[in-house]
Amino acid sequence: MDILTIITNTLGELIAPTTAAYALAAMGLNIHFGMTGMFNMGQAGFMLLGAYGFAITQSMGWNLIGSVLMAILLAVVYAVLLGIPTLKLSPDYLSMVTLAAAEIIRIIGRSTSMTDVTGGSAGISPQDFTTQFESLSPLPDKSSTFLLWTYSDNIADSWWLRIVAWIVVLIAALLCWRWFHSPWGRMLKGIREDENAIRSLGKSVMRCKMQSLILGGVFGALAGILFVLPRSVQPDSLGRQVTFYAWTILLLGGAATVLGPIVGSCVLWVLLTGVKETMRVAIPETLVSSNQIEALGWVIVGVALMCLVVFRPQGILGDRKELAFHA
Amino acid sequence: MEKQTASFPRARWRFLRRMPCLMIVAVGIAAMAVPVQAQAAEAVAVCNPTAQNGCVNGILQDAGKQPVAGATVTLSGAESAQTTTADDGTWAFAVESDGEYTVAIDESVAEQYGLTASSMDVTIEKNSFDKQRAVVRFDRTTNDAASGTDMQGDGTNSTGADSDSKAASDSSAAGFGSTIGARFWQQLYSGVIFGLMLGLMSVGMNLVYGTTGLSSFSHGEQVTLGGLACYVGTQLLHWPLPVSAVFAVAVGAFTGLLQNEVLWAPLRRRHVGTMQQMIVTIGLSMAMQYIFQFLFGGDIKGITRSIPDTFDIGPITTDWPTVISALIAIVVIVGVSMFLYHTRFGRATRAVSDNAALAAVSGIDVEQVVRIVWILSCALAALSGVLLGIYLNGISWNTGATLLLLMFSSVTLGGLGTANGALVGSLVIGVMADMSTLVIPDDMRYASALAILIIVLLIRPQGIFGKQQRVG
Repeated sequence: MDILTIITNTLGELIAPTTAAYALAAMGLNIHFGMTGMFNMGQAGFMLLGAYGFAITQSMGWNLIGSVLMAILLAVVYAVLLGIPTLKLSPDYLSMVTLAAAEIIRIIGRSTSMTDVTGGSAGISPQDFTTQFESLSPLPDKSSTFLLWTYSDNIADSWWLRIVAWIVVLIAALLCWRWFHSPWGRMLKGIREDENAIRSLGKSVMRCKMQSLILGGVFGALAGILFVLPRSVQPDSLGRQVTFYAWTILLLGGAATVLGPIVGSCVLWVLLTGVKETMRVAIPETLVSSNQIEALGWVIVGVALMCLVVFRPQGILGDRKELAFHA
Repeated sequence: MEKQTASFPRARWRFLRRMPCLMIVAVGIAAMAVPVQAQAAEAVAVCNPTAQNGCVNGILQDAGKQPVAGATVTLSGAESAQTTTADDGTWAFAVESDGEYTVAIDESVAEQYGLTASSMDVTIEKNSFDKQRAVVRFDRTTNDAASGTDMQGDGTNSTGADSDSKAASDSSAAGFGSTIGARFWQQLYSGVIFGLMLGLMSVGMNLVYGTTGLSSFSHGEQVTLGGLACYVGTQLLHWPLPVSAVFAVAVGAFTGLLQNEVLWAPLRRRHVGTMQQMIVTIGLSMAMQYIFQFLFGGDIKGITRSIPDTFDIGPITTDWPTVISALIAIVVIVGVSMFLYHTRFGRATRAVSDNAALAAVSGIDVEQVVRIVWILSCALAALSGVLLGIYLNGISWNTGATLLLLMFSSVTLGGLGTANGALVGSLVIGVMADMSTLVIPDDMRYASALAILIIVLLIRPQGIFGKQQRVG
């Protein structure tokens, strides 16, 4: 592997659908945490639910919009179910319940007794749910090269998916921008800063938190769809590590900013891929195996997360004065 | 022995599925690591199933559990090969085709060593997790041949009380004519054992929460650390088990001290919020977990090599290491409660839990209390890692991480920050997780424990022993 391949692969992450999916998931977290101060530790649960909702209905032959709506509906129901018991309690509880609920979804999804519905731990393979999406593409059926990168036009990890994914991210960013600067957004920030102050103004804190949880969860579900489209629906690929990744992205980019999640996702994936690819070339296989390099990549993310919180909690774009952390 | 190696593929497989894009590369590597790409079955020293090959292996022991070296083992069926057993009685074949195989030893050998069978039939399916490896034990003819990789249960929960409940669901179900009564007692027993181990972990976690308000996500890694340190002691440094266990606890205690001095004390001094610290623990957990994987690889590391003799107490099948582990757990937990309730320092700890500022005003050195709590908590986690490793016949890089949520559930159920709540919560969660397999599928067992967490929060958010607080 020469230098050019490394650079191409690394910069390829900049526009990869997975990067877009993580950006969208982190935006959902941003609504929860950056705007409202809620600790959702189970964004992967929303993603998995969205992915299942989409893929299962697609394989049953629903049309595309129906499937997307189904994913959204599932996320809304899930958010309401999680929100009712926990939003009145201290933030510790929401984090634990979301974490546990995400695990429950994953454990049930991968259970052998659910094989008929979810495909068990093997999951749902792409030909069962991506055909409609791919046939919608106006692009010709070949592969194209743009700047450095060559991908197929329509199939799997394609240009079509890239275009759609980033358009969705863009729309989501625009919505976030509108919401953050609306009176409703200001109220959320108020809740983040001081719940009791908002309560004393006669607003229903519970309802606002619920709305925020639902919206962020819907973003998560859509991110789940984008996440599985280039691969397959596998419950274990949407475990809690995905949530932790999304958190790292959010804190890296800067919580409570509109563009933070996008910047965070791009920076994280480009850097991580770059470091891993370079290590693969620079360190001989006999010394450190490929699996070990993969493990090192995770170690880097973990350490980065710790350092970020300790040394630069506002991230790249955030405002130190408007920290989203409150003890 | 065979149980440890048997679970290897799942850990790796799960890791692969996490990173689908790297799957092909990793499978390639895995294939390279095993030098068995021959067309037919091949005798190897150690066999690990990959996408290309399945495994038939075992350990040849005489009726008195002594390994039989140098005996000839013949494989026939879909592919055929021959090997001789190693000094420790182990033997392995890597096979390429799916299908039926027959493993045989010479009948005279079987007779000489008092074995009940001299040949056994097994089925290999490379793509099935249950059937990519077949373990053949001529000294145990009942059910070992088929259930090679079962130890890990559903793969995600690479730990849990799977090994025992396997014994319950497979052997005793077959042995007792699958009466639900027999399974009930067995599950209750393994649930209590599992609950005790969970209690040992959760007590420490709860102490840290009580004194600092921090829910530590890296506590699971402290458990893994204990188990792996013990593995290093027994298997790499060849120390006796008790010495290794003490070593592991010492390592755990030291990491507790180190963490507090390097990380948590400075963060507290800077008045960094507990939620922020919680995210630091997530980072720490990820880093530690993958450092373990980097150093020890993805397979299960066995702490002890011997396979203990089982015996029956009424309807329950158990073995000495399990009983001794449980006793140690009970003694330590009782010791910790005595420490908390009957010593001066214990009172100080509880005072800090109740109200740190008030404790400081009354002349208690809060920092010193927190330091001791961190050391104690990590030492307890390490001890539980050791006991868990012995109980489950091994520990892997993510054992602790899979148990983290159960610890959270236990702590929440018992009451966040209450000293003895964690133990009661753990016992309930442990028993619940194991008993639930009587009604729901085995691989959903942890879901039931997590469901309890959510139900508790709905009905009694402060937990069993927690004080009612006005929230929101």
